[in-house]
Amino acid sequence: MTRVLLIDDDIELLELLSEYLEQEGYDVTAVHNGEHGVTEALSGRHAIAVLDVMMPGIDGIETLRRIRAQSRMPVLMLTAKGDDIDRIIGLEFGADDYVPKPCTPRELVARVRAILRRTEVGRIDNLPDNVLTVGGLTMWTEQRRAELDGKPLELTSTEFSLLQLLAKNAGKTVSKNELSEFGLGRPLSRFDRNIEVHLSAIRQKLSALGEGRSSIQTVYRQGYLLVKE
Amino acid sequence: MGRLFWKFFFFIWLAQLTAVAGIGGTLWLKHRNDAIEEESVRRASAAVTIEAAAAALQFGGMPALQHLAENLHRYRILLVDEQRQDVFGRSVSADDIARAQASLSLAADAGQKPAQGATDNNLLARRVIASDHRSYLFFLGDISDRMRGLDLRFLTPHFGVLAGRGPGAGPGPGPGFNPNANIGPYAGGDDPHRAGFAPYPPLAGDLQEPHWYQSPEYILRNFFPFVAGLIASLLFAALLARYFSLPIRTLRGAFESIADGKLDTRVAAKMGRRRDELADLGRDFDAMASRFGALVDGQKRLLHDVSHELRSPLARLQVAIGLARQQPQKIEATMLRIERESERMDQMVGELLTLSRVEVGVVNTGGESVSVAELLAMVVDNADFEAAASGKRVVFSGIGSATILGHFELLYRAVENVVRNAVKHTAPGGDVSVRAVVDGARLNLTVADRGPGVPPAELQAIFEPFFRGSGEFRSNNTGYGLGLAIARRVILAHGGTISADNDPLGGLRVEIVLPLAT
Repeated sequence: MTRVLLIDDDIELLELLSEYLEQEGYDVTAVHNGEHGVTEALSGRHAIAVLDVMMPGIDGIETLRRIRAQSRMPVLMLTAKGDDIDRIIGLEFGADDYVPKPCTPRELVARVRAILRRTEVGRIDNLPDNVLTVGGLTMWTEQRRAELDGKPLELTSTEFSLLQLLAKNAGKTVSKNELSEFGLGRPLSRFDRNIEVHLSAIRQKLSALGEGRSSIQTVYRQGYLLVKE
Repeated sequence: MGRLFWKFFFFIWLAQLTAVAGIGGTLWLKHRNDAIEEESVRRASAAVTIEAAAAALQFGGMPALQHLAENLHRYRILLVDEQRQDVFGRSVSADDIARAQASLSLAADAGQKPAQGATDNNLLARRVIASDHRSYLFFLGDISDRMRGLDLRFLTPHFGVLAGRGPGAGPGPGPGFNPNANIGPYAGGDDPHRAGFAPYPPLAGDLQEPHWYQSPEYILRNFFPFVAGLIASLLFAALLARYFSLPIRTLRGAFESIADGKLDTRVAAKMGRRRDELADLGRDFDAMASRFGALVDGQKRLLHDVSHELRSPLARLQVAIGLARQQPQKIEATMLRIERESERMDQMVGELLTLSRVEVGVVNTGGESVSVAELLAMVVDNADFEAAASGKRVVFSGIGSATILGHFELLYRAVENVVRNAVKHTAPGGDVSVRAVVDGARLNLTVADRGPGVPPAELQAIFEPFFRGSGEFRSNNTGYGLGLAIARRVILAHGGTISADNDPLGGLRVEIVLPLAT
C-alpha cells in the first residue's frame, strides 16, 4: 500500500483527510508540526508528503527546505490562495506541485496520484536503451539520475521528468501542455505557473554546474526547447 | 513658487512701501517747516544787517561802511552806485542789480516801506541816499539761494566752496579774511556775468540745467539709496513670504501623498527646527498620519487574518463533503461534521462582528449600571460548571458590591473569554482563580490559571486577533484567537486596561482594571 505522509497543524482536517485517503487505498500517517514532519519524511517510509505551508513554529517552506536537504521524495504543497506560489514551488526548495487550500479531496487525491504515477513510471520503465544523451547532459531514466559533463545533477522528480521529456525531444519544441501532462500528470490550467517555475529551477541547476549559455530555450507562445548540439 | 508665496510677497512688500511712504512724508513735512522757520529768522537778521549798513553809510560815510563790511563775515554786502558799479570795485552781475531794483519797486508798488518789502523778497535790497547825496543800492547775496544751497548741499558740486564760506565755516573770521583779498580776484574776473557769484551756490535757474543730472556721481548719490532700499525691501519680502509659504507647501505635498496612499509620509524632518504654529501643525500631521497608518495596517491585517481563518473551516467542510460522497453509508456522521463546521464559521463571523462593533464604537458602553458581583457570579458559575467536565475548578475570591457603568453583555463576554481561556490552558484537576479587589475608584480583577504560561515575548500579542501561541504554548484548535482580542477591546472601550504576565509559580495571570461608577 502506498504510504502518504500528511503534515498540517489542523488536527481535525487531517482526521477527515486521513479517512478519505484511507478509503482511496492509501496508508496515511498524519503529523501536526514541521519538526515531526521532517523526521517522518526522512524515515524513507513514505512515497509522498503532503505539506501545509501555513503552520506555526517551523512553517511549510522551512519544513520543505529541511526535507530537500536530504531527500528527493515527492512533496505536494497545500497553500492558501494568494500565497506566493513561485516561492513555494520554490527555485531553491523544489516542491513537486501545489494544491490551493481549501480544495476538494478529489483534487488532492488526483494530484497525489499523478505525482506517484510519474515517479513510479520512472522506476518501472526498465528499458535497456533508457540512457539519454544531449550534449554534455546524460540522463539514466531508469535510475532517475542525471549528469552534466560528468558532474552529478541533483533534480527533484518533477524536474527530472520535465528535463527527460525535453531531452527525448531535443531540438524540437515541447509545448507547456505536454510538459504539464508528462511532468505533473495533469493538463495545464489557467494561470498555472508550475512549468515556468520548474524550468527556471532546472536552468539554475544547469548553470550552477558551469553550463555557459542556457541550453533550454523558451519558444514564445509555444513552449520550450532543449538545444541539440 | 505657489500663489500663496506671491500673495505673501506682494502684501509684505506693500506694507513696507506704505511704511516707508508714511515715515518719509512725515520727515519731509517736518523738514520743510524747519526750513521755513530758519529762513524767516535769517531774513530778519539779514534785514537788520542791511539796516545797519545803510545807517553806517548814512551817518558814518564810506569809511564806516567799509569798516562794517570788514567785520561782517556772515553776509557779503554789495553796494552799487548809480552807475551800477560796486563801490569797492567788485564786479556785480547786472541781473542781480536788476532783481534788487525790481524787488524794491515791487515793495514800493505795494505801498510799503522798502526795508519791509525787502524782507518779503528774494533779494534783500535797500536804496540809501548817502551823505554825499548819491543814491546807493545795498543788497546782500541772495539769501534764499544760499539757504537753498544749504538744503541741497549734497547735490551740489560747489558744496565745498559754500561750506568754506558758509555760516558754519568757523566761529571767527579766518586768519586770512580780508575783503580786499576777496574782492581782488573777482574784480579781475573776465566773466562779467558770473564772476562775482562764482563762489556762491548756484541760483535756482542753474539747478535745472541738464548737466546736473548727467553727472554719474549725482546719479549714484541720488539713486543708490533708493535702489538699495528697493532691493532690500524686495529681498526681505521674498524671504518672509518664503518663510511662511514653504511649510504650507510642504504640508500640502504631505497631504497629497497621504491621499495617494503613502501612509508613511512624515513632515517633521522637513520643518527643521521651527518652533511655531506651522511646526505644530506639522507635528500634528505626523501624529495623525501614524495613527491613521496604524489603523489601516490593523484593518489590513485583520482582513488578511479573517480570510486565512475562514479557510480552515472551509477546508474541513470540503473534505467532509468529499467524505460524504465517498461513503454514502456514513452520511449521518459526516453531516454532523459539516453542521459543526458551519456553526463554527457562523460563530467566528459573529465574534468578528462583535470585535469590529466594539472597535468602531457602535456599542454604547456607558449605558447601564452593571453589578460586578452579579456579573462575576454568572461567569464563574458557568465556567465552573463547564470546567467540572474535565475535572477543573474555577474559584472566586474577593468582594462583591461594586458597580460599573457599561454594557453588561459585552463585559460579560470579555470576562468570560478571559476565564474560558484560563480554563482551557489549565491542566485537568487544576484550579483557575478569579479574584476581585476594589482599589479606590477602580476594580482590579485577576484571572490566574495553572497552565504552561506564555513566552514573555508573546504577552502583548495574545490580545491581538487570531493570535495563537507558538510551540508548546500553542492553543488547540477549539478557538479562533478572537476571545482575548474581544476582551481587550471591550475593556478599553470601558476605559479600563488589560494586561498579562506569567505567575512565577507557573501559569498565566491576566489582570483587568476597570473604573467603577462614582
